[in-house]
Amino acid sequence: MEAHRPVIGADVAAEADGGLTAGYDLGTFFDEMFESPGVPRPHYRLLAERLSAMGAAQLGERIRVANAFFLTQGIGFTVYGDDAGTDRIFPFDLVPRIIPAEEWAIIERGLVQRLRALNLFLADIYHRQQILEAGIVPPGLVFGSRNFRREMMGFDVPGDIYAHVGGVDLVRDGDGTYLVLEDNLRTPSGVSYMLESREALKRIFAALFDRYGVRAIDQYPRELFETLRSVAPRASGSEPSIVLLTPGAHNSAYFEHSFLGRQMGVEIVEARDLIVHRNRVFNRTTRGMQRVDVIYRRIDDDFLDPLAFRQDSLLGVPGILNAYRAGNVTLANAIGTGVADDKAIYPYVPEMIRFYLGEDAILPNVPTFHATDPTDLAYVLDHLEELVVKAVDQSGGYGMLIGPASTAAERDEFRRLIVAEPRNYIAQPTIALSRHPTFVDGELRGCHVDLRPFVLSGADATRIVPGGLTRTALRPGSLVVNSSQGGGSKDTWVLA
Amino acid sequence: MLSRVAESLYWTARYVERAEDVTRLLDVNFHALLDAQVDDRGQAWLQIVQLLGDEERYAEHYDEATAVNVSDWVLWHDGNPNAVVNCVTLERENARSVREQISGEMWEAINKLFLLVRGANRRAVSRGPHAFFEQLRNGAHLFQGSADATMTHGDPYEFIRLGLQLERAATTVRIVTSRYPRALALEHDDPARARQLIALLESCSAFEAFVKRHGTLFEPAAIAEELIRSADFPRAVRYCLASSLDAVSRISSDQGAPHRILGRLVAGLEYGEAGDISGEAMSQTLRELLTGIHAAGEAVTKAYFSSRALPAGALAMQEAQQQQCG
Repeated sequence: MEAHRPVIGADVAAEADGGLTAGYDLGTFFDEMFESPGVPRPHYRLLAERLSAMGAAQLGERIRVANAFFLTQGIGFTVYGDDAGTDRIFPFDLVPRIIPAEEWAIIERGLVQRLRALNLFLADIYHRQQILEAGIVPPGLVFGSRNFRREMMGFDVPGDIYAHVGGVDLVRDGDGTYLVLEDNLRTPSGVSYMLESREALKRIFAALFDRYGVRAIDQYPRELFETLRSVAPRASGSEPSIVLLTPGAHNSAYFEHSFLGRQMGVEIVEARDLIVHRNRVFNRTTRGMQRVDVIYRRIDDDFLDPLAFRQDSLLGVPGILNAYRAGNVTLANAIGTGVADDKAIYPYVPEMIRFYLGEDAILPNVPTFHATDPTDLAYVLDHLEELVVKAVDQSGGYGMLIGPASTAAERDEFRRLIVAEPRNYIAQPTIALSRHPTFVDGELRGCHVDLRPFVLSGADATRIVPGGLTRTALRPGSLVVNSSQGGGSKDTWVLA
Repeated sequence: MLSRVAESLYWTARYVERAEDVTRLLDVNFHALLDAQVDDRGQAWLQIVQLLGDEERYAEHYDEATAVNVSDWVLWHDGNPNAVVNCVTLERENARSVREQISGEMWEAINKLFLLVRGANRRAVSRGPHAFFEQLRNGAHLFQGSADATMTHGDPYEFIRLGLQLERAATTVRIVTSRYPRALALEHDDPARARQLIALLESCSAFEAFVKRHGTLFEPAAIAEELIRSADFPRAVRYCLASSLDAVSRISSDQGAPHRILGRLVAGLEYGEAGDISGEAMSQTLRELLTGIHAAGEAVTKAYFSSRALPAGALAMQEAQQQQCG
């Protein structure tokens, strides 16, 4: 992987004339901050004023402060394929993204609606399968999903909640309309970066926070804790013992696991810390075995239980599936949620919402072509240059072809892959993702952004902290915002 | 607390202490040799390698013992598990996997220590090592001090203390074993003898403490007494083992193997005869102490950690799985 230079520590050019916003190029995209050259949108006016009063050198100095903060805090992000254990500083951009209250209200309602429908879908798929009977979702797509788990058939999960933590990736197109790009219902990550970016921004732009009335997000760990508590097995009493199960220190999100564990005050365990005895799960401690009631697990189904899933897993807890099915422990998220965030199922979510809730989807999907459909397939193979192709079971920006940026060889490779396994691929038109001013190489440049809010679904309530992780592509022109692909993050301000 | 966490904290503390001890030994040697009419410099450097117990491995990599070679081995060499660079890497790896258990200040101290060592300009260090050693020592002290000042003194803290004190006890025994007989072998009025005894005290950070109590005569018996049986000098073997015993008692009230082994060692030092640490009996006493400290470490592992260690081949696979699984 090519070395990526984080925004932090970028060399700062000499003071620009007329401050940072002068000479900013809007391009042909929807710009989050400016409605036309030099004219900020109303909710960005204060920030734009602040930025144009500031020179690159002054901003650079503030970046150095933030840089030191991240470095000594050891906030890193491990990228697979790099030398494991080598932390890089988390690429972070200090120009915040701002969302007005009325815009957020719509997003929030759309997210609640979507997650309700997805949880109902999962309960249905693993019980009566009415949506298949009604002919709305093709059964082949469900049973053919490698994340469909027949072990979950007929099993009632506490509160009928499957996806306790959901991350929904939103993008805005050329008109500024919010679209759902994908759902993440297995082990979505990034929330620690959302929280840490806010800590850093508070140091950098303290005065602006005051004037803007930014809604707080630091309640997230408490809300996660409440969510987990609400789905504890009934027998565990009022203070269930909750743990966070991590794959271990070499996982790219380990920092986040550790961060959330500390913030919630729960034990972070690895598989070797847990033991199943008579369908009950225990911690091995220096004072013997201690019962565990709820496991917030940040490890894929495949690796969870070598007796049930991948036998070669060295990260799993033998027998945990049986303990789960016996109702003695709750897993969050539930096993088998991956069938609902499968990219081949994604196009059906608006219809799911209509089927289960009798409502129209508040947040629309991106139009999607199925390689399994012969008409779609022919179109996709003919138009690879314009489309984004995604492998249905991969995430994190892996297994993707971005048509407009691809080489002929890459397109040939994908053509071969798609024809060989059509079930494995979907294609979408390349969205002209909205852009946001981002501090790169000493000046503000428009970089593409997305937004991942986190939705907590408990037995008692659905909780969403106002905001999310705004990811930004830091390579010029790049549409890929995943942090594993050289993307960075921005603080996201939802206004009161 | 989780056994795995206890184990990681214990080893974090041991590695921090080890890095500091090793650094101090090098530093003392550099300085002692500056004003020495030492005939055999090679011998003085080899002594460091012997003391750390890696003579054979060292010989596989270097032909002779020189300041440059020994420093390279002790600070940087991949083949030396006790090299400072490996200690700080391991201490950080251990701390990273239990970050939520230690205070932010401690994590910062560990992280800075790691960055200091990994980012060190090795050539500059070999030209003028003293400043680097001082930073490293300060870093280790910052970790130990912030453990004391910023962390709740519950079980996790006691495991840190236990690791630190056992490591320190073992190091003092090793230093005395290596340096003391050599000094005594010299003629009573040989000025080199006093210098060697001073280097011995400095290797244990004991020079000032000793001089305050005993003046500058550097009587060998008094030095042995101070380094082994003092109840209040913090690097004396007895003091370290008594602290270890205290930590173990706080961790659990039942008198398991760690408690009994440490209790016997402390009692032996407290109620032993003066003759135990002089003349012929001394080397026997030191050997028994080192064996006893080793046994205490094993007993601690067995009583509290009992981790299911993976075979070496499986570790790489586990690491690979950790990267792909979520």
